[in-house]
Amino acid sequence: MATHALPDQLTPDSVPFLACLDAIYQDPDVHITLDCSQVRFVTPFGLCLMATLFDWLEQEGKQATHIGLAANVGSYLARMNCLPEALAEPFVGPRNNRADALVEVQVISDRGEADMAAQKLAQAFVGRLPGTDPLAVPDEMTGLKPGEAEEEALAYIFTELIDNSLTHGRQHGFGNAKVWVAAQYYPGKGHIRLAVVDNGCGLLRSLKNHPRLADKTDIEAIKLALEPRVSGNRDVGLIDDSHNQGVGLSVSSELAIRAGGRVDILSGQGAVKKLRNALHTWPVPAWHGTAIEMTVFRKQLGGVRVSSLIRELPGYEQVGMLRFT
Amino acid sequence: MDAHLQCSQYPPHHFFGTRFVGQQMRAELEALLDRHENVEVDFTGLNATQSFIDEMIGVLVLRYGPAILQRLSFKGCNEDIQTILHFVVSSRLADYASNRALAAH
Repeated sequence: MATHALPDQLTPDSVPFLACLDAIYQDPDVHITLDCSQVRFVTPFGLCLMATLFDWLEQEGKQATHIGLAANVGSYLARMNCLPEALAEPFVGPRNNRADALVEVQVISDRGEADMAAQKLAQAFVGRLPGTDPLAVPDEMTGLKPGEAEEEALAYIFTELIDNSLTHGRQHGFGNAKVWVAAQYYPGKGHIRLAVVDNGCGLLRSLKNHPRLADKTDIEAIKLALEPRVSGNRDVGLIDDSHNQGVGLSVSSELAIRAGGRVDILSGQGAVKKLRNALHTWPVPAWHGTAIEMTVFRKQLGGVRVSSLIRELPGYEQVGMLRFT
Repeated sequence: MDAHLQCSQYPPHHFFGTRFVGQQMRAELEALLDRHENVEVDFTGLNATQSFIDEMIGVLVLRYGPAILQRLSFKGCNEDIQTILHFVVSSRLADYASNRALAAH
């Protein structure tokens, strides 16, 4: 029976975490033991990747056990719906009320569920945040109640990312790919982290025939996907009902950056971290799907307008023929 | 007689995000365009993503060109939706023109 030791941090920039996952995916043994004794910090990205792993283990008929999981970490993973029922059982019990800061891991497998799920996620999350009052009077300038602008921005990010995953991730033989989402508010730092992870085909397969992808590597595919007006089927001359303008990921990521945040994307053997003025890349052990974590500062999120981001996109023009009443 | 499409009557009612829902709303709009000369698309009280607007409106512009815009008007658009409509329609008009040029060769 193989034992796999998870590192202390299950976060986007933890290469040991991704190496451990890769080793588990490669392990032919039916019995998988996770040594969790070092685990101390897990972000929504880590939660979703772990949930994806447990789903895969179940699909493959493998049996997972864990050793050394600290009570506080186990309780957190259990309440975030990250662990399968059998593994979560020892940790289910009295626990701190963190409803104002946590959105548990959810799985979305039906495209028809995506809009409602994303909207509910954003509503539930913002509604729980301190300082939001659904009965508050709307601001005279914006017409928005406290929290509404944050909710709309989060709904925008969630829906675009989930839609991308369920549309592009399901190509090339991954028609049954699913999406895992989770989010957390960290009041001490004032930021929100949200993650959207799919077990689909990955960005390189989705973009492999793109004329602008000269270097067919995962890192270059991620970098290309972050550019506006690039998608798996926009620029390749296809005419069908779902050809894409290729701005969903770029607008969502720019929304996060303008809200003082960062974007982490993992796909295949590539990882990219986007900050306001920098793009960092590094190779990682293989992961066939796409995992995205966006970090935004809550106080800045409500001040970012989608309209200002759209106006900056290449090709934006006012159309005189449009009639508004 | 003109027709009116009140988008907020359809699920998800408040925030329209995915292309999947955009396809459904486009089907509603096309059914109205089949029976009426003009349709007023009412976005009052809701928000939407660029993907949704592209799937609902952009695809029609790509298929039928600028002529379709003479049959559509848009009501109750907030600033975000107006801006997204300008972006989607301007880029799809450019795509339509380039597809026509390609077809002519």
